[in-house]
Amino acid sequence: MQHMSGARRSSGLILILALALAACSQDTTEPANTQRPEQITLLTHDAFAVSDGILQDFTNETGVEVQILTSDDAGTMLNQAILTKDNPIADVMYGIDNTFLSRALSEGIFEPYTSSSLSAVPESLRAGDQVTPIDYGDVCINYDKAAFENNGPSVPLTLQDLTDPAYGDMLVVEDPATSSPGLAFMLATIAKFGETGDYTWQDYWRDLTTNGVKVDAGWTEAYYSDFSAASDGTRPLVVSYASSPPAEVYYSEVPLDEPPTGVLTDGCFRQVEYAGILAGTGHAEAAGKLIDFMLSPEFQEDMPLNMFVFPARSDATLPSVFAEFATVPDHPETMDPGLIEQHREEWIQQWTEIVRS
Amino acid sequence: MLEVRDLAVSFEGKPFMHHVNLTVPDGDVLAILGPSGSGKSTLLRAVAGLESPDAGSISWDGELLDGVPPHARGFGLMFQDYALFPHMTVGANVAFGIEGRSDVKERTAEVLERVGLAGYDHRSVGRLSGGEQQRVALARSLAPEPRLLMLDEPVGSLDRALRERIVPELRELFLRLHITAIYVTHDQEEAFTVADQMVILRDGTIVQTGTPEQVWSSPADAWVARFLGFSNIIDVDVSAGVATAPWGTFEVPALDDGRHQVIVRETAIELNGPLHGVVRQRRFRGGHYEAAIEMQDGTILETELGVAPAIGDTSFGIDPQGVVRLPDREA
Amino acid sequence: MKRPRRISDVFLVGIPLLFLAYFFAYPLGAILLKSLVTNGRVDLTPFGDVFNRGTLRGAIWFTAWQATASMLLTLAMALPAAYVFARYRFRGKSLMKAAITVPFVLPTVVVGTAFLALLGPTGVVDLSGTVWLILIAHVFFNFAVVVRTVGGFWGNLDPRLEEAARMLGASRWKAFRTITLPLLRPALAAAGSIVFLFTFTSFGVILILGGLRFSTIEVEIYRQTITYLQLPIAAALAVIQLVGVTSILVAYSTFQRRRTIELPLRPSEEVARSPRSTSDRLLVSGTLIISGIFLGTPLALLIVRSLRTGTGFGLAAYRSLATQTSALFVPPIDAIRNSLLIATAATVLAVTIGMMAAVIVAYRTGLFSRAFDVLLMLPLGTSAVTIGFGFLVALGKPVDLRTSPILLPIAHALVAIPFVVRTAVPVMRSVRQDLRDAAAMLGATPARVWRRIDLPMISRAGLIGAGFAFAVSLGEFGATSFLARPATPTLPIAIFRLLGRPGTFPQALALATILMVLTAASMFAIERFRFGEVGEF
Repeated sequence: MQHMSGARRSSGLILILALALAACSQDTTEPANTQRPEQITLLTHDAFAVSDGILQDFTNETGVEVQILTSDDAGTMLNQAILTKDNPIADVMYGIDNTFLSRALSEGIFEPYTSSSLSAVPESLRAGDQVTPIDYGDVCINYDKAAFENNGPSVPLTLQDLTDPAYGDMLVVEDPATSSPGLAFMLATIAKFGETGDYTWQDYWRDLTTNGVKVDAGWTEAYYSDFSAASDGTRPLVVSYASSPPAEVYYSEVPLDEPPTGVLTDGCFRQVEYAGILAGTGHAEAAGKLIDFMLSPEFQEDMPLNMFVFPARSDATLPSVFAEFATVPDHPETMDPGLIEQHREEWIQQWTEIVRS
Repeated sequence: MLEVRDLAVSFEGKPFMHHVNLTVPDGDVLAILGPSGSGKSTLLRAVAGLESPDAGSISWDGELLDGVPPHARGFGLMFQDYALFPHMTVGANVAFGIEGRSDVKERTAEVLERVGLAGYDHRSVGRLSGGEQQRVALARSLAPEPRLLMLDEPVGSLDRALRERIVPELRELFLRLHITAIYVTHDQEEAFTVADQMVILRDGTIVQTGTPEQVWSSPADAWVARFLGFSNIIDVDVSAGVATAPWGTFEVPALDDGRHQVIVRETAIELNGPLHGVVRQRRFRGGHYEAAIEMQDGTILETELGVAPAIGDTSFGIDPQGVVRLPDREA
Repeated sequence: MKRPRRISDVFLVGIPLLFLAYFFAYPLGAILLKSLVTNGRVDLTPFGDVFNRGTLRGAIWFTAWQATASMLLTLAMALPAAYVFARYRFRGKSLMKAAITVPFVLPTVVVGTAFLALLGPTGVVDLSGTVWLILIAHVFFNFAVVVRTVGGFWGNLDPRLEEAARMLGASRWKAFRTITLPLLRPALAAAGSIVFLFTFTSFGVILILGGLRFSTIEVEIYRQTITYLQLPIAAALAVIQLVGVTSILVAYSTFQRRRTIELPLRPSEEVARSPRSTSDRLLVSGTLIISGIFLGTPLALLIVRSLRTGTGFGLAAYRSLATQTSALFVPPIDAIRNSLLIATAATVLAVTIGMMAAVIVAYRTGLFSRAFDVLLMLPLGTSAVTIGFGFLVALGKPVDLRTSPILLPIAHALVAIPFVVRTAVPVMRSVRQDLRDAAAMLGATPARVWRRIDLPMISRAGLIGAGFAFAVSLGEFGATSFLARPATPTLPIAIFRLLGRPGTFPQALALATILMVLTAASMFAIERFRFGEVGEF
């Protein structure tokens, strides 16, 4: 009788294992031939997207299969890589950006690799031999064209304009402590206004607070609950991406001649995303091939419509919706990753104190 | 045949039942009679194997049942509040003990019919009346044909009319099926009706055994007498066939001299006789009257009369046949 | 209290213990140790840092009191609905019961938009910036926990007890207060403890609806880990959170003190009756309407928004989900299949382990059983970040499970087991011993007694637990966010991805609507599950 109840329980466990294995087998694609191709794992974040067949092309070219592991966001992904650096869970990591780069480098999670295609990438994007720049995006203030068309103020041109009472209660930003664009925007203001002098970034934020800036926890809330162009919200100015207007056109059901939103080119912050080979991988060569592939025109030109970022390759052709409607700021704000790493916490805390009051 | 030798059982951690000896021959019905708290259910549970005794032995046909679990003893137990399985139908309840037998359906139908519940198979137990539930519980315990059937206050929660009808039916059933049974109750009439043998339990120990007639005619002591319902327990001095009570004398030719405790049966008091008292209360009982007669020293004598006595002064006599001497108390 | 004899305790304790040890205690210990140990020594200065900082102290305090308030508020507001579901029969009951579980399953980020629309600056009433937004959201999400746990138990309680009290002169309210409430206490405490733990570790609600003003330990752990990459402080916070949760659970377990009242349980079908009098009807319809409005409005809003197209209303968003082919638009079929598969695995795991554990908790008294009870509940009260990362740190050897898809059902099961235990235990304890004795006297071996008596009577509770486990898994978004998972997403993750970029909002809501329907359908099916005697009672 104990055997029977034991057997029933064991059968329960066996069932789970069977189900788990079944779930497992969904992901692996067994080729028809007998030889198992080399498999590498790409660790990336949830925003990663690539068209069907692109990765298959890579496999066809190199004989290497790519398994994708996704993490919630870049910060989580970085933590995961750091925690497992003695026994890495993947071979390549993609999606680390300049705000976290310094930490990644100091933890030594990468092994050096220089891609053969690196020469196609502008110097301004490069960051040493441990990581390879793959794409970039600019965090900029987006505005709702419709709100500024009729009677009312004209579209703001500079960050300073946003402190003008004419634009009071119009701006919604994200919390830098919990949002990547939020952090980027804060860094932009720090880079622009500086920490010393007559008018510091803290002064700027004090003025913004007085002028009724709203802070949301993340981009989703800001864009889809408060931004007037994408919701029933009342705020026509939001911190988003330079690629947001083309996205609006691309996903619109009704064909549009122009995007419903525009971008402030002042105060944009450039986020560069990198890929690197994780130290300790047993597949360094195959990993390198993947990074090369990610810098190939095929992959680079596939990225904009999937991830709404700009290819790092200067000679990549942009899709038409990007070419027509994307705004690439000439002089986006940037900041040394080392500086970001050093002061990030203290800056966020200062920011929180100012804005909370 | 069940034999219980020198059984001792604890209740809630404390020693309680002691020196319990009883024997139930095959086909006999033994009634265990006692007030609440006397240990009736505990004794039953010990025999069933649901409690382990501290000392003593329980055996069936000579085979010791020590360590044999309840489900292996072949005994049936009908619970006080029936313990019907609420999530099963009547049929499923009754069939529970005989599942797996090839003739389950037939046997279930048969036993239900025997208790007068033919066709109740698919009924839900929650909607049955008290009497119906009781019969389902009975059917359920009968179905497996246990070698010993124990019933714990089986009619306790039924109304009087039902009780008075069912108890004789139970006796009838036991006789017809040659069931060996132990019937536990606190009601002496039930016990008398149903039993071949009786034991009377008090505070965890047996104070009298015998057939119902024996117990009735010679209660072991004043407590038993009172428990059996006798009200008139009197200390008298007997001399030359005459008993002297504080309130008068009456003839007791059969008793020998000395100081004794006697029972005067209610039926032994007849109106119109040498003794005097006052009828204080009169109760109509359907077939007869009960009356309380107050004597001059305040003693109340209970009587049972065929005709209605008048309230107030009355004279009466005591029929010597209805006077029973209780065994002398131990010093 | 007696319990079925001879079911091997070692087995019943051992398996849950092993499971929790390897998949909970070990990863937890590993990550905490890793974060708090520098150069081979345990460094306790992060604790000092935590208590020195006003924001962190404030977060600890706020976490405690908002969880308490949320628990009490949820209990109070959901109790009428629990009553109606327990005692009355009405048309569409199964459907409604399935529907109220939907909020529980939806990711906060999805509902957040609806809540902000209704209760924000442009809403019906502006509660933004107040703690009420958080509390109401908590009630919204945890409503089903109370209704199903308390309601399930209540549905088996014999109403004749109250009736007896009323006959003795007690008013309806007095009968409720003095008879029903004490008898319901085990179920109330069970539901309350779950809601408390959930809200104690609440993350999404606080983040999205709280604004800058409110922060809990969980949010701070997230901030410290992800944004500041400050693992020691995060670990210190996680430990503090654990200590807080453990003390609450110990207090709860002591409070529950084995006062095993064997209750007269009756089949739920018998207890429930159609509303007869006017006040009955008023009560039933009133409660259902109010609950329906409360739970349904945000959901309706989401559904409506998913149907909004550039030109009025239509199914464009749903169509684009089906037809758009890009890595972003995972075919809903894939996500649904994934979610269902994982949820099934998680449920089987949780019910198996949970029921084993429940037997020990229900029938054993003594220190070990109480400690075991606390241990079982702990995963609910532990930081998702910590568990997620703990898996990565601990489960690399001997078998590398760190990126295995099997971790998802396991992580979900960890959170679901407390539900299974909590719903089963009060009912288990209420099964009358004399029913078991009667079965034994009819020749049933202890195993058969368990199978034919205990199991059917607790099966309803088991099904409720299974339903919860399934729902938890469908909507789980905490620990799984911090795992590195294979790219095929579950529904919540797919929704989350669509919400994170411009232009795909309606599609995200369409997927969320699909998740709602899937949840309701699954709950409905589980509700209706009948296998032999299982589920009938």
